[in-house]
Amino acid sequence: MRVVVLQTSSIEINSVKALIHEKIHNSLIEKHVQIPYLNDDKLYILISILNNTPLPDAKKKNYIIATMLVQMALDIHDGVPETNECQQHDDEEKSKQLSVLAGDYYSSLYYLLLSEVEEIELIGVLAAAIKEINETKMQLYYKMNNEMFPLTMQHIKKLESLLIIRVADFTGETLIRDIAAEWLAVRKLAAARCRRDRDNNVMSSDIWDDHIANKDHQAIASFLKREIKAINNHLIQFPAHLAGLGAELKDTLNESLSDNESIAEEGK
Amino acid sequence: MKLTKTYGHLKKELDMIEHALADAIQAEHDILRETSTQLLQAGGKRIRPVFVLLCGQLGEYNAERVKTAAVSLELIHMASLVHDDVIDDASLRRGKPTIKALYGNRTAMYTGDFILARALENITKLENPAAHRVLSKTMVQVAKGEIEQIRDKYNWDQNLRNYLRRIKRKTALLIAASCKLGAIASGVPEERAVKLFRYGYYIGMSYQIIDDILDFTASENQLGKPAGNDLLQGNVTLPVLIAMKDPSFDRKLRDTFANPELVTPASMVPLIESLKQTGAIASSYRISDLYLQKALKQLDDIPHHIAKHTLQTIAKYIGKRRS
Repeated sequence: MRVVVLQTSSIEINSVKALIHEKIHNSLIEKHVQIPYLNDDKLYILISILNNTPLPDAKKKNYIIATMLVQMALDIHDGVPETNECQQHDDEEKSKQLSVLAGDYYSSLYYLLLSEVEEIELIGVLAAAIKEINETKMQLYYKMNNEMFPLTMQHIKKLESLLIIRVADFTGETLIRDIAAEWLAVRKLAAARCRRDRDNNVMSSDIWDDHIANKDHQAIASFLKREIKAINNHLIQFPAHLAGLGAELKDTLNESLSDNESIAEEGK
Repeated sequence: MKLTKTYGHLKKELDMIEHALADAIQAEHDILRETSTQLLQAGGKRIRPVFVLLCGQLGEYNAERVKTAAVSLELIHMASLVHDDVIDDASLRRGKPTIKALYGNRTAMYTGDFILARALENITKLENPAAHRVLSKTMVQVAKGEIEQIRDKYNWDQNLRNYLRRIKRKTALLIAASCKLGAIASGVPEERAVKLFRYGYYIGMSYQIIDDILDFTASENQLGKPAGNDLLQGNVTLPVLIAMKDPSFDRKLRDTFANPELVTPASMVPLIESLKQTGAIASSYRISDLYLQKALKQLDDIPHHIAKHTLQTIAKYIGKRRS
């Protein structure tokens, strides 16, 4: 799948990524832990949301960095192994220990960043989202095998997008916010399906991979169809100044999907 | 005398904080609610809320604001304990099974993250930017301290400065932040708030040094873990660093830990005896006392107040702690 290249932003993805990597740099963590990658899709949609607000660039950057620090903290904690049985070696033990600490470290960095720029309200908004995300993770974890597939997908969709949705709500942006969750879900699910079909039993720490491993094509296609319909409904309401972004969002989706799933061209 | 007796007069305020803590961790998910409350019910000295309350009483006391700071600090401490048990693969805490032991690492991680989120959500009720700067800087330092602790394990060549910086980050700063947040919440003037921060910092240093001493001198029954357990885990503490100046102990230590995975609590017994013979315990107490004296000195200019008296009593109690 093509990596999203941001065309419409005054803030550039790579420069934000560099700033985040600079903030989280710690040689011991980097030596022993697989640092979660900064998801281009999430950055893309978050930057698009913030670019559709009148906020100054410096503020936008702080919001993006803080949100992505929280995302990385949550992601790295998801990588902590469930049991300690496999940690026979010192390296595995250190990796587990430092994964726990790295997540706590990244969380503290988000708090520090927003404290320094006196964005107290956003600290609370992101904290409330973390709380909700962990509630959802618990629901997912303890119902993993006996929950209906569509409900499971809704939970995962929420996990993927909640931080971004909350930031959008905080800034008052509504247009891109309304398709963010669906757009991310389609991108992630289509990519996971592609990996599954290509690699058969793919071993991955990605939550989407885990949950579609044994699901039939029909169930996945139905979910995608519903999400695509919702995206279409919102995209046709995009005002003129978002036309370029709308086209970009469609293109990136169509690249992820099979021909019979592709998102409708305008006027069809 | 028990430490809790030194602040017995705070019972009403501490009960309110206990209720606020219980409210703060009410999760929607049954198991998350259970795990979050488990640690709360296990109790604890609530020493951080105590410092917040006492320092808050030295200003224009606002019960709601002080309670907010106290609750968040205790929640931050609780969240770190849940994650620490994953790091240490610990089965017991305060004599009860850990969340990790009962539910696995994943649930413990979610619980810790949930509690931390509640702490941060709660503290935003305080709109004073200075309070957030103090707490956020502290949290970054605490996290760095824990990472350093992993790096420094079994490193026999580390120096005293390493150790002091580590315990500053690991213990002293959160106590210092508790004092300063209490002061900020009650509008204590900055100059005095800084002194209270320093008081907390010195108290925290002394407290941790004594904790590190007790790891060698207290009984397994008192500690709830085998004596010398910190060293067994590879943590090089003040008594060890001082004892290593004795070449005979230094050799014994390095020989014992040539293969750390083979070291058992039983093989620690002669090593602990050897450490005690170097005089390292008395020297460590002396250093702890120096910090205590510095802590008490910070209170000199503060006018007579029952809270000041209690801060002094706590310092003296900590200095005398032997179990």
